[in-house]
Amino acid sequence: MKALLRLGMIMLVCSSWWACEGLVDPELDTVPPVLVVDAWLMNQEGDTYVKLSETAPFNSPEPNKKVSAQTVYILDMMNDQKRIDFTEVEQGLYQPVDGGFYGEPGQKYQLKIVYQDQSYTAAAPLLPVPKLDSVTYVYKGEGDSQQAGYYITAHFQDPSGIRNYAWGRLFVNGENISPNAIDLFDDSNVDGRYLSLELPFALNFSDYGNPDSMKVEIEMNSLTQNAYEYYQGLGELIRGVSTNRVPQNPVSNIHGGALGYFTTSAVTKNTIVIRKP
Amino acid sequence: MALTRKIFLSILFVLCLPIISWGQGGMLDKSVSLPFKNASYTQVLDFIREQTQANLIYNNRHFSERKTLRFPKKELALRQVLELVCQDAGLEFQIEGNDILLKKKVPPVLYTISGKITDKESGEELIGASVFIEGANKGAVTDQYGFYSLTLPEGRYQLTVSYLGYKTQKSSLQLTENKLHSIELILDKVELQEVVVTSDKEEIDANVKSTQMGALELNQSTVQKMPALFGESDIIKAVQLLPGVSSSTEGASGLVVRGGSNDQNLILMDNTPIYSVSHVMNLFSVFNTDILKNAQLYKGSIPSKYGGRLSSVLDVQLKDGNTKKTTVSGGIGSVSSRLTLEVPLVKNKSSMLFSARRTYLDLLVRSMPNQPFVSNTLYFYDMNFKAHYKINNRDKLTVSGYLGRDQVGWQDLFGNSWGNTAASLQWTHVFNLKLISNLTLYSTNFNNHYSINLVEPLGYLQKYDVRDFGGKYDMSYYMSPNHRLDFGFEFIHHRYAQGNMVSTEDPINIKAKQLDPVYGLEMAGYVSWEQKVSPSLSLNYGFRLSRFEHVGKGKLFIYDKDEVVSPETNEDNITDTVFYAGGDRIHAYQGIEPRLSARWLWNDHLSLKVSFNRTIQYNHRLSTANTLTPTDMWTPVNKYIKPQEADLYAIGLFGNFMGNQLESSVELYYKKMRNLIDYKPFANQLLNDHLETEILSGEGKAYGVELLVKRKMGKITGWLSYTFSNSTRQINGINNNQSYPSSFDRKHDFTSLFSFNLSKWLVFSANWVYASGVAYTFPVGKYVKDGFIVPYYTERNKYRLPPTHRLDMSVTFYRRMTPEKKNESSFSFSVYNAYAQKNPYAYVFRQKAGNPNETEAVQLYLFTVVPSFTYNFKF
Repeated sequence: MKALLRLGMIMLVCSSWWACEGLVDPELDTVPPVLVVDAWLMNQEGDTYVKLSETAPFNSPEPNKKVSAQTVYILDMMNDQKRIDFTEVEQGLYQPVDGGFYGEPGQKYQLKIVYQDQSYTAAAPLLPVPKLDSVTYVYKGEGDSQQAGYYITAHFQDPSGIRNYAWGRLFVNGENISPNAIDLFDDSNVDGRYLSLELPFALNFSDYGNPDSMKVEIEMNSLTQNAYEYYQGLGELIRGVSTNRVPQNPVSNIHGGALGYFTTSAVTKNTIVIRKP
Repeated sequence: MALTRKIFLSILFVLCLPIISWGQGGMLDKSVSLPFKNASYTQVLDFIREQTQANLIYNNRHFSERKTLRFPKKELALRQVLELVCQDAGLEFQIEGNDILLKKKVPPVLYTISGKITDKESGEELIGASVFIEGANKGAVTDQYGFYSLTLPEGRYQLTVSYLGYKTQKSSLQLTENKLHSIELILDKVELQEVVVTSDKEEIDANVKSTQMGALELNQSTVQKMPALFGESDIIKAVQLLPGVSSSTEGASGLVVRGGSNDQNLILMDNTPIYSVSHVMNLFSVFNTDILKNAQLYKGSIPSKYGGRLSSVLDVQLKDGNTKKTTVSGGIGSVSSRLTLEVPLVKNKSSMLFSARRTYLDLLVRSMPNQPFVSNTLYFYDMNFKAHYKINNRDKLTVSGYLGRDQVGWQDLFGNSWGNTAASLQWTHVFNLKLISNLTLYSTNFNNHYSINLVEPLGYLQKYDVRDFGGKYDMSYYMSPNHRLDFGFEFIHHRYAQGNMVSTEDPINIKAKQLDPVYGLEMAGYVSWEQKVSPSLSLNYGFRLSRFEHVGKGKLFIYDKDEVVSPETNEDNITDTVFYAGGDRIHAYQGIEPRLSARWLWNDHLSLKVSFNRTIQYNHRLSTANTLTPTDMWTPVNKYIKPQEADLYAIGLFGNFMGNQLESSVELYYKKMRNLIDYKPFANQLLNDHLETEILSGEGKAYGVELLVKRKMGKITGWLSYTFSNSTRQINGINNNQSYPSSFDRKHDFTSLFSFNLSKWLVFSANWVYASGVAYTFPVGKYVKDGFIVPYYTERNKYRLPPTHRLDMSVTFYRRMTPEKKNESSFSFSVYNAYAQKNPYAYVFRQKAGNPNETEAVQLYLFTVVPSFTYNFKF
């Protein structure tokens, strides 16, 4: 029996049956370039921008071409269609002419772009974001299924009766610690609760070049339901792990045939500093 | 009574004598000239009288004055003229001296012989055994209860009973009354010599002679001989090697039959439907080969007794248990072990069977040093229980049960557990030698639990389950040698618990959520008529009438749109909700499903078959993936979600060669499916009670050619099969409403499988499979959003993954039971994917990890070489 077990083990080790990966170079088609809109309207001064570019062949080593439009502006729909004009500060990057512009939660905005005589529009409300009351941390030793390190908890009150969606980011000493992922939050199961969310990973000084302290900043951006679904889809595509699902483009809110999204968002941030013991 | 019959028979015998002597007399060869091409009966009889000088004795009432007879020639032998006259008027002629007597045909006295064919050693009923009457050229094949019935004229007969792997048994029989004749066959331990069977035994040439097409049978020994992945031979894996059937991806246990989806297969375990047949990682199925008796796959001309699924039926019968002696059998494998116990309760009448197996993948993984899978869970177990009691020759009661569970976990962050439970009670009753019935009452349940605990206080457990209580009553009436009638009805009460969610944390942070279950009543009645119209033409025609009622307690959302399942509808279109009390009918569908097939026999070795099938399915499995995943959810039809429907047309040529040693077939099919559904892009599928707003609906088409050459006996057995197929979908809201290849569409599929009996104790098996690439979606560009490089997709499934192929091999050493060695054992060593082909099941297009400004394409593949062993024993 023992011999059989051992034989089984040897065979299991022999068989590389865990999912394996290998680089391939399939022949890919290329379609004519399509306009890509990467637009954010934020509730903080200086954060609003519109970036325009075009799609490129998938294997192209060149960065995607940034493009200039004929017209870019935003209408404040609930404020007599007040027009916020944009200016191109560098190729493909547009910012409000009025440097003091910021979006107001509760308002609805419409983006208009004219590019190569074709017009593109997108409209979205700017939703408020629950305020991050505080960020705390606790040190935990190594456990059965737990890594040793500092565990971060974010505290905030989820407003009752309305659905909230947000995109969360964590910065350590100013650096986004998961630049390849989109971490989304929705309150469908916790509506109206006071939440203390402990993040499922540990921070360690050694991972950030052994500084004397770690400045941990959590940032939460409010999203509309459609934007949340768009970023869910985008997250799947950039992770590239949806191996069983037919990949598809996330549903954009831009009319006219462009890719990308016009995101309206309010932001909340909070910081804590962890000093080396 | 017996005396009258004897007198009657003597008279008949006397009457027959002149017919026999006539041939010698030569009177029948006398020619009769016929002046007209058409003549009335009276005219014809006058010609005969005039030209032969014979006395004609007949009753005028037997002839219609107005009717005329046509003659092919102006001059015919008397025999031919008399035959023409008699044939048309339903008479027969007799000659006594100079008298010609024309009288009504006396039908021969027919008696029925029927019974059961069983294994002598274990008492197991044998499915598909052949009973053949030498001389009369008549035969029958035992049904799923081991029962056969034959109706023959009185007489003395030689009966030959045969079944592959068993010694053929001959017996003689005097048929003077209806007879119950059960036969026990002895297992042929030396089944290795080349057997050449030339007589047309029903079992052997069923390929050519039955009206059935698109049907394939597998039994335990075939499945056990195949090379097995991880040493665990599996019926689902074996079925995937049949023409027209494939797995959606490498190593998966789903069945894709003739372009149908994974959810369109009715999989029965002892007449009880099983909702999810997959175990851990889709590598194993719920069927334990140790107790497998017989499996029948219908992928075309589905008999009308089966319904409720669109594309195929896999009817798996498990062993009943040994009624003669206690046996213990089992196996120890590299990743799993099995044990089966069979105990006779009353000798020859009753027994019980208990079987269990468990994988120990997790134990092995944990015992390996330096690996990252500590505290991961990965195992399944399942158990079967069965007991039966033969009350008498006519009645048999069987109870059976199944319980299986899978556990997968990753640290304490994620857990998934799913399983089926099934229980059934069967009563087989023989009303008389011609009419047998089977009543099945069952319950089946599939449930799935998910626990997610990624963020500390937000841990939750989510549950989903579907439960059926069902009953069906099937009857077979062997009316005459040329007619068989199958009829019956079925009733199912469904409960689809669409999910609930509870917090696993204390204090509770997650709000509990519970969706109300959805109830449905499904009912059906069917008739199927098997008719031998002439020696060359056989028909099978029947239909199934099915109905589904969505019933309360439940609710129905009212929408402000006519077309609810559409890309434009969402939950904002709900204007009202109607609540229904328990038992209220919310919505109903019904339909008629014709099932027709015909066979034209050219000669004993070649036939042509055609069939048409309509099938209706009143539920859908919602899945985001192409393979079976635990998140898949069954949902019944409702007012907005319509039943799936399919029409299948097929035509095929079936031939047997080399004295029936080789079976071959070519089948062409065309299938059209309606009301197929798919999720909307990024649909909200969890805990959603208005799934109609999350789905899209459309059509599917599939066509293909399937070639099969099979050898069932001799030293080398196995098959070669080739399938060409094409399967598309057109769903409004997907791919700009244009038709696209389905996600499991492969053009070419080739399988070769053989088993070589090298000696009494050594069997070598191998299979090689090749499949052209599956339809896949590749990006046609990339773009930048929020700093991420994102692949850009246009047309769905326009491209193909590379072809896949692999060779599996196994060698099995047997130690047979002999008077000295009381036990039987075997050791089998298998290698899956022997030449380590990296068969991709997916391509992933993504930004490079090291350099996020660049992109890469990565192929994912499951296994390269997988060696494994199994030690099997029986005593």
